[in-house]
Amino acid sequence: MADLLGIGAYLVFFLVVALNYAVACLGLNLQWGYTGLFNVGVAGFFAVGAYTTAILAGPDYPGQFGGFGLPFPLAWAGAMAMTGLVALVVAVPTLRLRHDYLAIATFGIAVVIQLVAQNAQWLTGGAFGLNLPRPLFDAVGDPVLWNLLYLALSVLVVAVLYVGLETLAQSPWGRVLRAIREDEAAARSLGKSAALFRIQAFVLGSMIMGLAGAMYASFVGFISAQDFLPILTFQVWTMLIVGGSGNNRGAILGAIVVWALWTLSGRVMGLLLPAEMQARGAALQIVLIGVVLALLLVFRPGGILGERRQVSRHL
Amino acid sequence: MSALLDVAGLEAGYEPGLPIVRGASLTVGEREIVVLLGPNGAGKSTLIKAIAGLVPASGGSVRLDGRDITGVRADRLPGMGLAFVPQTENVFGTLTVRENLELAAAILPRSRRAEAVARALALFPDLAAQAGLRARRLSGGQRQMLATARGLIVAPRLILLDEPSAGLSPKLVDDVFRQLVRVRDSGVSILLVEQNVRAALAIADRGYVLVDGRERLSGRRDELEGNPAVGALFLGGVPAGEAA
Amino acid sequence: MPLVQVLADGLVVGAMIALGAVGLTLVYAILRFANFAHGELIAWGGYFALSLLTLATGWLGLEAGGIGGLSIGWALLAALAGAMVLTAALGIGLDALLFRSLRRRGGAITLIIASFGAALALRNLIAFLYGPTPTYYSRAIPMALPLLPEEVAAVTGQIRMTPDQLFILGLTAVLVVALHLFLSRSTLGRAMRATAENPDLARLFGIDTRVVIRWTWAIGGMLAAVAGVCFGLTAQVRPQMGFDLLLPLFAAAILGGIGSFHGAVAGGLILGVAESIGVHLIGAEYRQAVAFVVLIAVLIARPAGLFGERD
Ligand SMILES: Nc1ncnc2c1ncn2[C@@H]1O[C@H](COP(=O)(O)OP(=O)(O)O)[C@@H](O)[C@H]1O
Ligand SMILES: [Mg+2]
Repeated sequence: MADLLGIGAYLVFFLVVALNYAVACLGLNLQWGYTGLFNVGVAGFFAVGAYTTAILAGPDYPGQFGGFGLPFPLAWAGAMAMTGLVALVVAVPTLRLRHDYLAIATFGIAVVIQLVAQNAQWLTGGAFGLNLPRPLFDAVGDPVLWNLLYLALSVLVVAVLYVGLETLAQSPWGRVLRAIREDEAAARSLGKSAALFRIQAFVLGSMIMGLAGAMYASFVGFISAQDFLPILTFQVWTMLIVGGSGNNRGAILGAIVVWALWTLSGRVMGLLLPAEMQARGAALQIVLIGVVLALLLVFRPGGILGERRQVSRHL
Repeated sequence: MSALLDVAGLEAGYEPGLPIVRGASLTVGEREIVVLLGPNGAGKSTLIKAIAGLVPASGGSVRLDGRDITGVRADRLPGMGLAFVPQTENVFGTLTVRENLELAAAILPRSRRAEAVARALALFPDLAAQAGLRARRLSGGQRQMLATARGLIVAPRLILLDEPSAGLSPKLVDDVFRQLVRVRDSGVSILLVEQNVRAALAIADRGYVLVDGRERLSGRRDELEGNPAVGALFLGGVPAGEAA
Repeated sequence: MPLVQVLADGLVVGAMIALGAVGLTLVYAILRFANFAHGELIAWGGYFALSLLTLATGWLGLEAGGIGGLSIGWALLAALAGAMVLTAALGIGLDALLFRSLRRRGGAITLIIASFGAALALRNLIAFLYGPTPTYYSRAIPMALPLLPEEVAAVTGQIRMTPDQLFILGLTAVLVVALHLFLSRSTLGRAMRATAENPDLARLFGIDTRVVIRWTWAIGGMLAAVAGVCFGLTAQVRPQMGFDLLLPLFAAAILGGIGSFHGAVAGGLILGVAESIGVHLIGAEYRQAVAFVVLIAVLIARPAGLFGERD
């Protein structure tokens, strides 16, 4: 009985994290799946959301910027706004250029954000990271119950995002994005306004990633630079490709499937590798996932579900 | 006697399931100028690109001197005696005139390269004067000469030319076509795509009219020149004043 | 620190960035995609040399010690040559296994994602095989020598460089000149330029573009190996070294005009100096931020780069 409860509690924890990835994945789908924008800096935008939340909602420490102790809905809103701002800085110079430049610029901003996370002690706590209160944790009292409530909140957020994004996709705005993605010539004929649409989609997608970061920070209550390595970008991309880009349901499913495989392969690696190799097991795991992604791109470019209505020409 | 080039029932296109060339057949004999006519979008360029191996064939066959060359890689054809000069982007703008020619001559044995380049430049004295210039700085006519000279440099048995007169002044068009007659007389067969119907028929031995990816009419020069259907096929297909 | 010293240090770093950026830009020119795995070729080059160095000193009995004042000995030179061959093979293998089949269908974007995945896999394979700890080719502490005569140094400040740093500058100069001659004079080099401009036309010229592509990876791989070994000599050999160089490589290639060989060399040197000045002003931990600032500035002011020919 205790075991069953333990498994249930673990499942709740697992699902919260998976849905957290799903939110980021939905943001990426808006950028890549809908609009064909190539963001290699997911981890960076995620980090901006997480740190902004910690700074706005966290307690006041001496010598440390922030500690405003704001309630978490406000902190989350601030996190999204801040991420949108950072996205704008990258988007404006690059989105009228070839897609490679956006890829390189987003990669660059993620590297810089990682540097700030590691080194700007006054802002991000550097190697010590930042603590923040988990919303209503003390009021609820029981950690397992709190996790369950947080799961309900995560489900709610994912559901709202899903409905919102689907509505957007069907709207005239969404159809323009698709046209821009599918047809370079059409995009060119739209000229300046194509760039404007791209910027809107990119900023909105990044804000959703920022929200994912905010949810992550509030859930774990402690963040540091190690949480936002490039591997995070890679994971979210793998989730989207597995789920099938251009497909919101696929983005959510991909997040859950890939996170399950990731967790599972980590466990298996832990069991198979001798003790002195454990530290290297994580590296081997990434190698294997990288190979799986490559195989997927080569042999099943449409993902598990594929895009609804039409198959993407990009993937 | 089998023809030098024998295209039979060729099907080709850019995307699977969407053939642009739909069962085209034609032949080119030794020392012959054959002109390929047809309205815009008929698939003339696609047909010769398919012969030259740039567009994959999905059916039919191409034979060069009896040898099946369907599906042979484009880069091997110059060495087999078949050269193709596309309509646009037919020289390397970042290389000089001489570098363009030397690069094309590189498939020849080392001992014959310098002589081949010299011969090509001798054929087009205008080019010789510009040998050190980057090709993107050439005029339209000079560029076309360079493209043709490049095609001839490997001493092909057959050269495919896609609208060599496009964009040239009437005077230059005459020059180009006179040059083609000389090339033919030197023993090279020519398959020529042209919109400039009258001028092309004037130098051609035979011709084909391609419509919707298939040859609709064919015959000797005099047969086509006298055929009112040829003119009719071009109504609306060719800018006024150029139609035969 | 005198300004001349900052500049000189920047040139050494810039030389390594240039070597990497040339490979990156050549792959871009021929295959038209931004290869996020190029940094890993540098890291693998560094580690290939490390393994070969162990072989050379252990089994072949070559002297580990340096020639003259260099910490580089015959053993490391042999290891460098071997690493160049192996890294070239790695680049060719990566193309054959992954990029070639993606090229046939998907657009440039699929190639970018694939290269990003390949980069993570290659980087973590190093961490798995060699462990995460940084290491060195040689434990010797190199002596920095004054380069300027006293009278000049009195005015400008002195430049001190280790023999290894001078070796890196010399080797880079030799390689750049050799590659320049190769691209402008040799048939294969011209075929590469031709393929970069128009691959279909190149085939009509009788050029086997598959051979050109293989040589592109080979040259990129060899230069990456040299960059990796130089990085190992002046800093350390570590799994992250390729990743840490990637942003500067992109910034340098774009600064010079992506696809342009001469641009990549100039961009690399300029970026190295800019980094050196930036580090002097704001500290070493933000070194890569300099590359980002340069990158964004170029994209705003002159996206075609200083020497770019295409858009
Ligand atoms: N690179 C290409 N990709 C896809 N379709 C093409 C391409 N080039 C030409 N087409 C199409 O093939 C058809 C025939 O074109 P083309 O062979 O150039 O005709 P022509 O040379 O007789 O004017 C046209 O409908 C054109 O749109
Ligand atoms: Mg045509």
